[in-house]
Amino acid sequence: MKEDDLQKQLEDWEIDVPDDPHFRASVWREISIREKSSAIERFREILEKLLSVRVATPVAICAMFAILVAASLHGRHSREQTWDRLAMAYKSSIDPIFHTEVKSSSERH
Amino acid sequence: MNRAVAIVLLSLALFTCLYVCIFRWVTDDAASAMKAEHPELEWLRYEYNLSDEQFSEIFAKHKAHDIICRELCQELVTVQNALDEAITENPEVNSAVSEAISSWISQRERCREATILHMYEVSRVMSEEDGARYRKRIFDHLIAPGRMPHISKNGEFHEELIEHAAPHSIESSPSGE
Repeated sequence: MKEDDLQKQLEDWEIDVPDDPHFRASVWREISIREKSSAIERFREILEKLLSVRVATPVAICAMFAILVAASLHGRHSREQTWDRLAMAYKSSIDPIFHTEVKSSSERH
Repeated sequence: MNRAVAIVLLSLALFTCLYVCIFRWVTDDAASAMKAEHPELEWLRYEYNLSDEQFSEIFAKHKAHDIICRELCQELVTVQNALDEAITENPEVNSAVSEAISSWISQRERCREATILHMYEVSRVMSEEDGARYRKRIFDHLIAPGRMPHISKNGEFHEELIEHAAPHSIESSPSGE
C-alpha cells in the first residue's frame, strides 16, 4: 500500500523550480574560460620547454641561422635593386632620348 | 612565467638587432652611394672598379656632357611637340608632317651621336676590359637599333629589352608577298 502511494506521488511530482534565464550563457562562458585557460596552459608548457637548456640552445642556433640567411637575402635583393635604379639613373643622365622618355613618362603618371 | 616572457622578449629584441645589423652590413655600399652627391656616378665607380683619379676624370666629362645633354633634351622636346601637333592637325601626310618627322629623326640622331661620343670618352678613361664592358652595356641598353629599356604600364622602366617590329608576319605570310 505504502509503495503504491510512493509510486503515485512520484508520478504526480512536478519540479517547480523557475528556469534560469542565463543558464545557456553561463554554460558557454564556462566553456570559453576552460578553453582559454587550457590554451594559456599549453602556451606556458611550450615556453617552459623552450627555455630548458636542452631545447633552448638548438632553437637559438636555428633562429640565428634563419635570421642570418633571411637578412642576407633581403639585403642582397635590396642592394641589387638600388644598383639597378642607379644604373637606370646613369643611363638617363647621359642619353637625351632616354632622359626625355623617362621625364615624359613620370609626368604622365 | 614572468621570467620566461622576459627571456623571450629579450631574445626577440636581440634577433631584431641582429637582422638590422646584417641587413645594413650587406647594403652598406649601395646605401652610401645613395647618399653621395651624384649617386648615378657612384654606380659607375662600383660597377667598373674606378680609381679616384679615373672617377674625377669621368666626373668632369659627365659634367661637360650634362650641359650638352640638357640642350639636346630641350630641342628634342620641342621637335617632339611639333611632331605631335603636326600629326594631330593634319589628317593626311603633307609637307608639314614630313618636315616635322624629318626634324624629329635628325634630332634623335644628334642625341644618339652625342651619347655615343660620351660613351667612348668615358670608356677611354677605364681599363680596356671595363671600357669594353661599359660600351657593350650602354650600346645594348640605349643605342642598339630597335632595342630600348621597356616602359611598363605603371611608367616604370625595366632593363629587359624588347625586340621591336620584327617583320615576321610579312616573312611568314602564306601568299609569300
